[in-house]
Amino acid sequence: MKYTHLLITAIAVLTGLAILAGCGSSNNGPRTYQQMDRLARPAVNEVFATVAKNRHKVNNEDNPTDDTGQLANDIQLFMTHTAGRSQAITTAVKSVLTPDVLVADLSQTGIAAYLGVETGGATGGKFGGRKLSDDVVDTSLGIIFGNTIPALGLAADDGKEIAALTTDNVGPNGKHFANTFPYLGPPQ
Amino acid sequence: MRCSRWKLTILALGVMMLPIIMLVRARGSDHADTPAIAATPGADLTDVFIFPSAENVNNVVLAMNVHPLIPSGQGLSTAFDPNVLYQFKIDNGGDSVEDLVIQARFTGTDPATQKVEFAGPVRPSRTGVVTQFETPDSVTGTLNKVFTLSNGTKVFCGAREDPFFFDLEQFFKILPDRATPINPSALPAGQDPDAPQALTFRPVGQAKDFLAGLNVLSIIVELPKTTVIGNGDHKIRVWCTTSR
Repeated sequence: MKYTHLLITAIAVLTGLAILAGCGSSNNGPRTYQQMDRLARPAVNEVFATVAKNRHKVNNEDNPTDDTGQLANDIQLFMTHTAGRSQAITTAVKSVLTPDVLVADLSQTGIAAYLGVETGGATGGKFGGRKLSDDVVDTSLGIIFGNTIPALGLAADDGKEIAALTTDNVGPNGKHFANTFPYLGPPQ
Repeated sequence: MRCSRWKLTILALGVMMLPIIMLVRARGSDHADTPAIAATPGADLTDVFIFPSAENVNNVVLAMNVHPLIPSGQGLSTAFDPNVLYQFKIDNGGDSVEDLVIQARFTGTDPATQKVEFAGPVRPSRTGVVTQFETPDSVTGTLNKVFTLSNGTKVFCGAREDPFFFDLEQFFKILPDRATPINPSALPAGQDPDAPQALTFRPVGQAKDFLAGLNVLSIIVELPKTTVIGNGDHKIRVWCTTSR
């Protein structure tokens, strides 16, 4: 408890200093903003990077160009050590998921499909991007615990799948997506 | 020391769950990554989407969500963080460095009167983690109302149903020790908090979307594909950032 309070105090003081520093710099040019959070593919940094050792924070506060030297190491550790998958599957996962960006091929006319560009359309279409109804949790579970990577021909099967953990059995049916702008359902 | 496969599995799930747990404890999101972000929900990115417009084949839609777990009925009374710069970053050259940005910045704290300014798509004055707001479009908007910028981009900023779906409750059964701090009554007295109460997800029909009925704040833009593609192929690589 004591340490928690100390930590909170330290954060408060540092935040105050940061705000003061920000105010100071605004007199000498345009106001600048420091990155706090970064997101592209869902459940990547969240799954692979530990909160310990600030791994989440590091990946949130850097650039996609940093991912091959940062996020890729988190994927390596998680896949081979925690999930117990083969190095071949791990290498394939790293090459698909880093740099962490959502890729869309705007020359394609079909529907969006999460990881569609990276997998040559195997996930449902070559447009890629991510549509509202894409079941990204199941896609991620399939990559980590299932045979998604071997099935795509990206690495040999390592026989270490855990089928009971490859879907949470929740789909998008309860949502209120629309076919007209702004497409996301109204607040509930 | 040897660990059983199931222990490894539970450990793996535990790692996956950590951000979610932190989030729930802080009334944050399924994507809250760090204590600092969980304490700043307006800067907490929860989802990014890119899909073709259903209304116009020439257009693409980009959407970002922030501010997780807004309770039912409170969406329209929630404002964006006026201290935060919200950005779509778009690489259209293949080097994962942004060639274009679309930026949103909010003024005021009352959701009924909060104003939003947009800049872009425009080549940013500086790339990377330190950024500045570019020259804003002449049109400003308000929350929860569709409007169109002078450059033709259609915009919506405001409360939406959280589109993310996930059976978090069953995750807590698989990981009761993680659930205990949130809901101490979840475990019968004397039960080992490390003992999983379930080893699989729930079957269809019993599985439940933890995010059902909850809301987020969305920034949604629809614009011509030609305004974001580069000179080479027509692939774009997109990520979102929040900055203060």
